[in-house]
This record gives sequence, C-alpha cells and structure tokens, in this order.
Amino acid sequence: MLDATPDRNRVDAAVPNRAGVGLKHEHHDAIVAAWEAGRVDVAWFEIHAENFMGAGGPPHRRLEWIRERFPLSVHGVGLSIGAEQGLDAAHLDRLAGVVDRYAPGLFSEHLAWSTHETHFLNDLLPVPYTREVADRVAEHIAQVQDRVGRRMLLENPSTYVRFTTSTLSEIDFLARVAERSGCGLLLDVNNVHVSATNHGYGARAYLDDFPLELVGEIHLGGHAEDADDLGDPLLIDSHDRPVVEPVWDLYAHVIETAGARPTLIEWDNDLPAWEALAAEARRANAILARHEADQEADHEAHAGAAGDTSMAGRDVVRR
Amino acid sequence: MSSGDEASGDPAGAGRAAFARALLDPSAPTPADLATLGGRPAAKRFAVYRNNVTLSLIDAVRAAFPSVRALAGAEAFDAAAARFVRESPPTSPVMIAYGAAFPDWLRAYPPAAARPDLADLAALDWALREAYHAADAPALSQTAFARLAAGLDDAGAGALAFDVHPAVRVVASEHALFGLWRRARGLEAEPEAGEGEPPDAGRTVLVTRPELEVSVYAAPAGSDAVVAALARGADLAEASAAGQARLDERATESDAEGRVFDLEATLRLFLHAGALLG
Repeated sequence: MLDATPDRNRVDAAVPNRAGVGLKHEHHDAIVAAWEAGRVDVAWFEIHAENFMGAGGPPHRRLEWIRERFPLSVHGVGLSIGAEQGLDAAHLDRLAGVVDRYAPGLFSEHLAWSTHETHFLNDLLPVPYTREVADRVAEHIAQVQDRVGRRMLLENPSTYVRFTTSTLSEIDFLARVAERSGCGLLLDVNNVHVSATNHGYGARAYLDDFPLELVGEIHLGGHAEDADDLGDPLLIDSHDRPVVEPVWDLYAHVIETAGARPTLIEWDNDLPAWEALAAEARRANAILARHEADQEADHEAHAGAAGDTSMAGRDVVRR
Repeated sequence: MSSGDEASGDPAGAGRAAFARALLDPSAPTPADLATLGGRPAAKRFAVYRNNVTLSLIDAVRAAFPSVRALAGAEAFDAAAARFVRESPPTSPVMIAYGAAFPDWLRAYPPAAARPDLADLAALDWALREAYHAADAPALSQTAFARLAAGLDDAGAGALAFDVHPAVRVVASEHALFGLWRRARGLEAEPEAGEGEPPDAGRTVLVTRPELEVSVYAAPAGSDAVVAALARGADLAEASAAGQARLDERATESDAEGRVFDLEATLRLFLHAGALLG
C-alpha cells in the first residue's frame, strides 16, 4: 500500500479548457465524496509546488489520489524569478522534482521576487520594468525551462507600487521576456483589475493590448479593498473571497477575444466550503461553454451560408 | 532613484536591497524609488507588502506550533512569533520547513524564561511536523521481529540491528512533556505517575508515522539514546548500552538512584508504534 506506483493509474496530463480550482487539503474529503457521487464540477486542480516538497506523508498520498483522476497544474510560488541574484539551484531541483513526480499538464511561476540575499520573504514582490530586468528574468526562465524540461507560463503580477526606475510598460516587459525566453503567459484577470485600479489605468485597455495568443492559462480570484494614503481604493490580492463582477466581465471579454483557456479559481485564505468553490468553477465553466456554443453557432451559420450558392460558398471558403 | 548600489553600481539592485530591508524593519523608511498614482505618498501602499511578509511568516509559525500557542496564549505567542520572524526569517522558500529554529530561539527568549517547558513543547510540535512530511516506508511488525528473534539467545538477539523508520522523532525533556502536550491538544489528562512508574515518566516522547497517522507516545527514559544509536548503525546490545548510559547520566544530574534501562519495554513500544524500518 505504501509502494509508489506513479503513472500506472493516472489520467492523461493535458489540462482542458475548463475550470479548475486551487487544491486545498481541507477540501480533500469533500472532493472524494463528490467524486464518488459522480459529480465533481471541477475538471482539474492546481497545486503550489512548495507545499509538496516534503518527502512523503499525507500530502503526497492525497495528491496521488487527485492525480490519478484529474489533470494537474504545478504553480511555483517561491522561485524568485524576478530577483537580481541568480536562481536558487537547490530550489530549482526541488521544483523539477515535483514536476517529475506528478507530470502536470501546465507549469507556471510568477513575475516577482521573494528572496533577497539569503532571506526568503514569502511574498510576491514587484520588479522595476526595464530592459535589463526583463533580460535577467528571461535568462532565469530559460534556466528554469532547461532544468524542468518544459515550457513555463509566467504570471502577470498584482502590484501596489510602481518604480520610478521603470522604463517599459508591464505588457512590453512581459512580451520581451516571453520573446527572449520562449515562455508562455499566465493571465491573472483579477491581478489586472487590482493593478489597474491601484495605478489608475483601464483594465479593458490593458487586456486589449495583452498578447493573448501567448496565454496558456487564466487565473481568477478574489481581492480585498483597502484605501491608500489619500483615501482612494487600494485593492489587495488576498484570494480570500469570491471573484467580483467586474473581474467576471473582464474574463468573459478575454474568452470572447482569445478563445477558451484552462481557467483556475484561486482561493487560498479563509477557505469556503467545497460547494462554494465548486460554484465559482461552474460560473467559469458557463462562460467557457457559452463561448463554445457561440463558436458552433457561427460555424453552422457559415456552413449554412456556404450551402446557399456556389459563389457564396467559395467566398466563405476563401475567407 | 535611491542611493547607488554598494556592490555593483546597479541602481535597480540598490532599490531592491532597500525594499527588502524595509520589509522586515518597521522603522526603516519607505523606499525612495516608488512611483504612485499622481505622485501621492506611498506609505500605505508599501505597507501592504510589509504586512504580507510579516503576517504570512507569523501565520507559518502559528501553524507549526499549535501546542505552544494553546498553552502560552495567543497574544503572548504571536508577540514571540513576530519577533522570531524578524530575527530569524526563512532562508528557504519551502515554508513547511520554516520554524525548525523556533524551539531553540524560544529557549533564549527572555519573556518565556519562566516557562522552559514551552521550548521542549515547541520541539515536540516540530517533531510532529517533520514526522508528517517524512518519507513513507514500511514499519517492522511485531511478527516480523518475532521471526527474526526466534531461537536466538541473548547474545544473538543483541547482535540484531534495525534501521529507524524515517518518520521517527524522539524529544527528551526535563519536564513532564507528554502530559503537557496532551493538555495543549485538549486530550484527556494522563493519570498521575502510577506506582512503580519512574518519576521521570512522560519526559521522553516518541513520535511515529508508520502509515498516514502521526502518533505520540510516552517512551521509556533513555529511548532517545537508543534511537540515536540504532540510526548510527549500532546493534541492539550497543543501543541498550546507550540507553543505560543516558539513564546513568540523568541519575547523576538529578542525584537519583541509578536504574536499569529496560530494553524489552522500549522494543515493545517501538514495535507497537512502528518506529523501526520493516
């Protein structure tokens, strides 16, 4: 029973264009019950890699149960890719170990730093947007992709401050990093809303500029509202409550524009009952399904038009 | 832009160093290179990072030491944790490993000087954390042990050697640690040391996880030395001698009568608890 038998009973690794949720051990029993009842509204799970860097025990046992039944995404939170200093080779080895052990369909990390000298600060800290920093980040990602042996998705951050030293827009920075490293992007729509509010720009305009063709995964989560020194809204990326309406609207806009993508509901603090989390996943699934239905309707309309006359048919085909 | 980088002349690097310093030091000024909407003050915005760092680390310490927090009280514990995270921030991103230094730090924390047992309780909380995440392995069963020992005389049995299961931890204390832990976890109080029980009962605590459940046992005095000896590759005779040596050492310290180390009782517990590798 304690034998490790990886792969033997696992489902395929590919993460579908459906809703997944962040895996929390507090939900494990409810997930098992939903599975046994034949109704899990969640198509895949995402783990924080660092939580599975112990050698064994219940965390790995539960995760293997999940991996046998669901595709998985591994999301690193501690690699400090945006740091000035070189990557922590031992940590990169541990991360590669988690990826090797669980064979995820998606693998991602943050545009942030969290280690300074020898101290790990346990938060996702912002980087100045310059060409030099972008090139450093791209080198780090290339190193990660070499070691882990797969493409990484880099997540856009939520930020509370910007730097006077920045010379690039966030999007130009991300695009440069992606181009130089060959990584994809993880689009966190809540982070877009949080940063746009905090820095006074339009979230919709930001998304319209975003290189959506590079997006391999989407994150949705809840945020807290605070106020800055002048009493204006300061949104905090707290992952402790439901996704807000403006973020659902932005998400629907992204799906309409970019097409369906694997979409994660992130809820890391003040965890809700499993059913409340599953309800958030169902809402994302409804948006994805509506997009698919629209696509099919478009396709049928075109097919119908093609049947009308041979001239129109050729026209449709040529387009 | 802030002052030039001490090392490389790279302004971004200097900004990062100032940012990092200010995160863990509430008296440090807000970094100078922050840009905010319309040039407004950045103090509250920067404070979000400062709070995230400090509170998330305090949360990690709370999660690792629930028994200490239960007995010390939430307020006193959180004050200690806030100081610990500033003096001893993590050096690895693996937060399940953060807190290993807390028991020794607590031993030297002046406000806890009147409760030296709390540092031992912290060591026990940490032993549980380590056992939970330890490598999985089969434990030696009583029947498998009986098969190995069958027909052996004392010398033959003494020459047997066993590996310690990877999830085993032993904490030896000068205080009644097992009862303290049970109280902290809201478990039924242990009966007072019964007749024939040595006065140091419950001071040595064994933690195991042969399968999925972490278990905690009061262990015979000296069994910590037995585990250490077996882990070094000693056979049972040598391990038993190490257990006796530990008892003698304690007896001298406390000026108590010398006692005989009970290898049989220790082995019975180890097999029942799944402390040896199968």
